Amino acid sequence: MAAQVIANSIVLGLTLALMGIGLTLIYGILLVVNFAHGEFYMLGAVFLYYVTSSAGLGYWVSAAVAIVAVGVLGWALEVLVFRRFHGDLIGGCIAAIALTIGIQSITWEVWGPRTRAVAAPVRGHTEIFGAVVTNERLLIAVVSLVSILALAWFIKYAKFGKAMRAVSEDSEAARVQGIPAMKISALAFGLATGLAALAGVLVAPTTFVNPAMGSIPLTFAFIVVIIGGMGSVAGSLIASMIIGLQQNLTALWLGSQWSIGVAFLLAIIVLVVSPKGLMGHD
Amino acid sequence: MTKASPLRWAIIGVLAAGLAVVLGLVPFVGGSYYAHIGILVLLNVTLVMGYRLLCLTGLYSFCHITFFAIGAYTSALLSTRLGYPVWICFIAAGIVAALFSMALIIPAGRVRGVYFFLVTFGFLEVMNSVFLHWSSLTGGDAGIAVFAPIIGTGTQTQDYFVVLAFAIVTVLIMYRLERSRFGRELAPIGSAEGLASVSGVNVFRNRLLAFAIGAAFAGFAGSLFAHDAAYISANDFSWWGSVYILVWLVIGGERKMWGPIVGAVVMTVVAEGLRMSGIMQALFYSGVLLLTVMAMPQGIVGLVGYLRAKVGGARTSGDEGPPPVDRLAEGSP
Amino acid sequence: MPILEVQNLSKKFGGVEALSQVDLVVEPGEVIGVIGPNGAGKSTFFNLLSGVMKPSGGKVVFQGHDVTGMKPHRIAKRGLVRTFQSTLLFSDLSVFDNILVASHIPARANLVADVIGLPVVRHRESETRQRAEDIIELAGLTAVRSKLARDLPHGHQRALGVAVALATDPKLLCLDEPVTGMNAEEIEAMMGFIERIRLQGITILLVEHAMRVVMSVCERIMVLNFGRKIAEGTCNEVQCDTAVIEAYLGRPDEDDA
Repeated sequence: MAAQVIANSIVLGLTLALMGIGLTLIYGILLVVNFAHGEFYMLGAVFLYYVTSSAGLGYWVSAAVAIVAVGVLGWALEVLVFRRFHGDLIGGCIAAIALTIGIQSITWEVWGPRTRAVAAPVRGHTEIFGAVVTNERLLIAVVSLVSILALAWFIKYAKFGKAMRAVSEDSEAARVQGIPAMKISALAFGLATGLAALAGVLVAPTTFVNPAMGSIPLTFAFIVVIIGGMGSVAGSLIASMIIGLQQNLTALWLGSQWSIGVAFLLAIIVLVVSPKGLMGHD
Repeated sequence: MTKASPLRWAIIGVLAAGLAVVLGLVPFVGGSYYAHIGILVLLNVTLVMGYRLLCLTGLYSFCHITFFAIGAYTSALLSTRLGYPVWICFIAAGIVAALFSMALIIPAGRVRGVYFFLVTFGFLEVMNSVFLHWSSLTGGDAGIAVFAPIIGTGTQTQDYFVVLAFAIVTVLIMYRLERSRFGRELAPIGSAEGLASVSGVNVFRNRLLAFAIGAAFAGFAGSLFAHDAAYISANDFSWWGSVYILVWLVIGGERKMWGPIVGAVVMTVVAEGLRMSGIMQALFYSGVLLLTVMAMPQGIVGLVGYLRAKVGGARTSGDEGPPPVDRLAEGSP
Repeated sequence: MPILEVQNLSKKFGGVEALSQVDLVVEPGEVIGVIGPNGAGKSTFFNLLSGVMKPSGGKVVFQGHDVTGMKPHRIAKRGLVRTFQSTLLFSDLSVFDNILVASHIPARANLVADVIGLPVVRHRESETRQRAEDIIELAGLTAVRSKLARDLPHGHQRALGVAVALATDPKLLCLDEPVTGMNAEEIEAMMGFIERIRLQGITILLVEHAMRVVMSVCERIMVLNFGRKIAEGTCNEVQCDTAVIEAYLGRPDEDDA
């Protein structure tokens, strides 16, 4: 039983991490709270559906296309809209909210009122240490983990990654060193939205795809980032795993309708003890 | 701080009288539909004015609609379950909402603006899940039918006048608050928190008060809403409500008290009037928001100030152009 | 009784000792200068006194009360007030409003009475406004009274910073580099302002680099270096002190104006 809970928690935690890391990256580098982050998650799933159903390409190719498309969209939106709001958090929020409204309603128009399903890329299940995990979920966990590790490597060693870190720590100093902060910001935004799309693409086969599916992941992304600390990638990862565990435990002990309530209480407690989250900076 | 001349008072008096006449005639001109819109507009005005108080101190919450909901539920429950008369439910609604706000801000009020915003969002979602899932109390998805009318037989016209009276009282109280010592300490806290602190302003206490007063008024409004609409459910109180309130504040401009009033009135009327198809309405809203926040960050208040400065020249209160406002990130020394 | 007693005050940041075992006794009405090279701990010292930072060790006793580590607004209410090195003002308010915000400390108003507008509140209100006008005059800012703080020239902004601190009715005023960035004329004006404050009986602690100002305004001087007090005494005593001369690399007569 414990193994099952742990397995489920890991899967959930890793997916949350994809959302949380993206959100915290955006805040760390642009000083913007991306209220529209859930929409990119949703667009990942929606694009996946359209590419698989219309172009008939397989899951993997379609997923890649969807992620890249959303990433490019994110990049474009940063350049066109969010660029003006670096540091102005209310303005950025309003802009993000406006985009959320726009994106959701356009999608509703095109998508129609139904929910649709996306075919799963793998079937069956596996047993690990006594826990039964669907291969779908296993895939999600593996891909998420690999992506997160790749991202961590990227931030630590790659040129752009290091530049992103520099801008996140002190954008003025970074600029003085010749780092093109604006280009980095746009790239980071594209990267973050791509991560959200990845989460959407991974989760799509296991859920009902519809234009409103972004708001719950958004809420959780916020909770994760509050607990982990705004701007801290490591914090988001740790917090995601904590919330992944919390969700499963709460569902087990209290019933799943209280899961989000407990998550929120946890966030409050963390904030009272450590006002910048577990590892927040800035 | 010059005293207004008699002429100025006369003009204000005439305008006020004119406004009173217009407001008074609304339900007679347009029947219960207009009265209904009028009620919406007036409630929205009280909501955004209450919201503005805390915003002045630099903390932006995202759960104002939740206090509205708490007020509505409190009033509905006291009325339907315990049979208390409406005026008691009304007062209780405001008090309960204020208590919730204090419980929230005591842990959450000392954190940076960003976190506060997100935490209040979390609070909203949690309360919404309570409203949805604690069905025995809140009726869950099905909601609560509230039979007790606010006054008389509960027609829209009757409700309208009660809500109008409430809105007028709210405006008056907010006006006096602006001018009180408490009110005058709010903007300095938002402007330079560190300086306010060492000048002896109790930042936390002021924020607590601002939040509680705002929540109380939201609670009162919620109570009126519940008894007017005669039916409430969790679906009435989603986070979109908080979005709208923030939008009215930003579009109207938070610097002056009349800004959000204008924002709420204009946007509510426009939303009702422009009964476009769903997508057109959403795109319109989206576009207006983007335009405002990119071109007119001070809102209509800022626009008016800008125009005045251009035309008048002598006025020093020109809010020209967007100052580099770090509205959520704090800069205490 | 001394108005301020600082005992063994220390502050550590990580492994760095920003301030270490500083003692100081200040009698009412004195004007004391705090000088030292950059990074000597002068601003940290003020931050600790005013409650902006909590000390790692030591005590701050103000008018006989231990105020160590108290919240800034409570220390300010007791009469220990400071200005800031970086000009911190309520930039969107006018000069008058800036001072008015800080003027309410002496008056204790009840919110409900305020909102209703009781006569006693109105009377106190006009008294407060009068007092604000007086302070504006003392600061020499009457001409720019209605201008927004952010539209003022640098010299006036610094003067306004001091005026705002003055408005809280302090017993001890800590001025953090009040003349930095000023030209000769503005410095003269500030020195006059400080003198007028002194005549009101307010004790003044002054952190400054400009020696000319410190020497002419202060009665006693405390010298900090690397977080420690290395000398204390009258201007003459300090000027001749070898440790002080060393700290400044042989330029004790530095004139920043």
